[in-house]
Amino acid sequence: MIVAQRKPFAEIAEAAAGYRRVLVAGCGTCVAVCLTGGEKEAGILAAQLDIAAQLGEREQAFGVACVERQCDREFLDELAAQVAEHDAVLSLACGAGIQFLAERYPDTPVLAGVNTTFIGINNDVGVWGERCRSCRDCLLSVTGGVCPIALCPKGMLNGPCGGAEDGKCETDRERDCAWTLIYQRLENTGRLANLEPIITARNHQASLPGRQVHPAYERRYSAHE
Amino acid sequence: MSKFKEALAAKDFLLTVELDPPRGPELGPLTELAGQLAGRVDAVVVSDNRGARARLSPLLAGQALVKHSGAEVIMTLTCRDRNRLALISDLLAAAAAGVENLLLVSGDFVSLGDQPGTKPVYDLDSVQLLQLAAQMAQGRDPAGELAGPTPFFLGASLAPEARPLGPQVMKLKKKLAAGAGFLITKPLRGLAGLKEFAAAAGELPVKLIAGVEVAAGAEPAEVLSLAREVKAAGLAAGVHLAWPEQPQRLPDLVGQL
Amino acid sequence: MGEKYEPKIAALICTYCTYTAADMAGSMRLQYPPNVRVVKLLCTGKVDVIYLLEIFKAGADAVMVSGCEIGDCHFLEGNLRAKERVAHAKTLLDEAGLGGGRLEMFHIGASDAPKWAQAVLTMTRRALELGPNPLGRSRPRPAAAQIVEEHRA
Repeated sequence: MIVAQRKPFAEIAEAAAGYRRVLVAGCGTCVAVCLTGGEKEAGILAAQLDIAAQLGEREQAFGVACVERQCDREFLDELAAQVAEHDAVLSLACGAGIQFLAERYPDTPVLAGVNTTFIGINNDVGVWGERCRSCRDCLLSVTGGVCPIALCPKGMLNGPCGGAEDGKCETDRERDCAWTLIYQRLENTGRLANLEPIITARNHQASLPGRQVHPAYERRYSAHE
Repeated sequence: MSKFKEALAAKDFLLTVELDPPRGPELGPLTELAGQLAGRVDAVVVSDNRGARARLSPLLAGQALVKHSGAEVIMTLTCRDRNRLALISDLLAAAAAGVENLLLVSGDFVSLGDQPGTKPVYDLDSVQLLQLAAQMAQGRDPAGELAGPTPFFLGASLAPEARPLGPQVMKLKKKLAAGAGFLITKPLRGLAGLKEFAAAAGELPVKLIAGVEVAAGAEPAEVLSLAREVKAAGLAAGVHLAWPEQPQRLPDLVGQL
Repeated sequence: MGEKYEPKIAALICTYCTYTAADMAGSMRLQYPPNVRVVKLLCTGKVDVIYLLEIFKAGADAVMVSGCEIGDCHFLEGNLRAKERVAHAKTLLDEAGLGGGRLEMFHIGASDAPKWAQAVLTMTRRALELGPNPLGRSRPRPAAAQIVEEHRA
């Protein structure tokens, strides 16, 4: 899932300070699961903002809404009536959802309430870890299901750097060295031969904005290109 | 042909030292220090933003030492600060500057340095950079023919004390396959780790130089004794000395070896 | 205002322990300040951060949450969850400027009537020290719905 973290309260309050009626819009998918931007968190943030506004004697009101996913147009449409009744929308979705909300309601200022952190997994209650950088050229079959791009700070592709010690990373002795994990996983599954060929330089065309069309829809969209 | 390469082939035991370019625009003291070391060491390794701390470019420092110090120069180039365009460009510049030996490394991560928020590049890793430099030595880069070859003698770094050993040995094999002609280790703490590494890696096709460093605040006596032990044990073809805090004392230290 | 400040304290308490202790405090004729309004819950594990914030928005001067002693929860760990949520809500109140000091978690066993009386006394003193909650009483303030209504009109 996409993991996000609520922005510092002072930053949010400052961004919202200029608007009288602010709609705090949660997203019911990834950011709800990581307890950052779902319906409940939208309610909590609105209450917090309301308290701060009252204490600061600012005449502001905060509405609350939550849609299933802010990255789908159908769900964003459900917000139309509420958006119309507010001066700004404070979105708690990931960066993609915030942008799509702003695109769908171009006349309303859209503010970001979270920092999108990574694509990750749920390690335990309240703890998430990054696993994927969406590099568009997955190496996981070769690297034993451990990603050297997401988990090695240097993104080394051909083995550990010289900073690895006791299986830990030079950037933090608590952090596992990704290449040690890769090596051990492949050794345990009898696949060390995977590592013999030198992995060549990556194609970084992934820095261009991505777009993809499902093969079944190619004909429909090729007409518009 | 590189004098360092000749020395490596001809001599039983080599001595190299590490010098950092200045954190300022004045190259005089560095050139002078390298001049004092010139006849007494087999090469001077010019570092590249060592420890992810910005200093004058190793290209310009390397050029100055080649031209004015009389020392044989090994220039360090990291993957940390350059994408492949910059790497190719700097490799060409190094060749034009008369630098004949390169130490190609990934580079300490930026969070360990003095600009922890800077963007780490690592477009290539150290193995891929060795491949690139080896290709350029043949007069080509990934885009095609170059107007001339850059016949460098390529070196790689090694962390023999890092554990587990398996991944380090695997990486070394790749560096050798990619074109490394010599190896310099990270500063050693003792001999035990190097011995274990040597046993695990088997006989190496290229020569290995053992790094030793006088750490901040430490006295050089221990380092000298470690260097002598390395020589006596026959585990390395030479010693690489670094004293980042007091490089001006390196000539004296070299005299005691 | 000129009126004497009588703190309003909301207590969200667990029926299995603190509520029983409060009941016993009555039977024992223990004296404690009359400023507390009790909300009985099946377990403090039911307490959510949003309830706590909303109670303050409604004008409570202090809020206390009281569950079973650690290890004694009828539902095993409801009181532990409440403890974490109260701690989190205190940070949120600090951020919003009201201050987390107006909120506190207690653990009071069913037989511990004196501890309940003491806890109420503690929170009443604190509410007196901190003064009235400025929310919801300084001046009538349009709720979000009202502002929305104005906009429609």
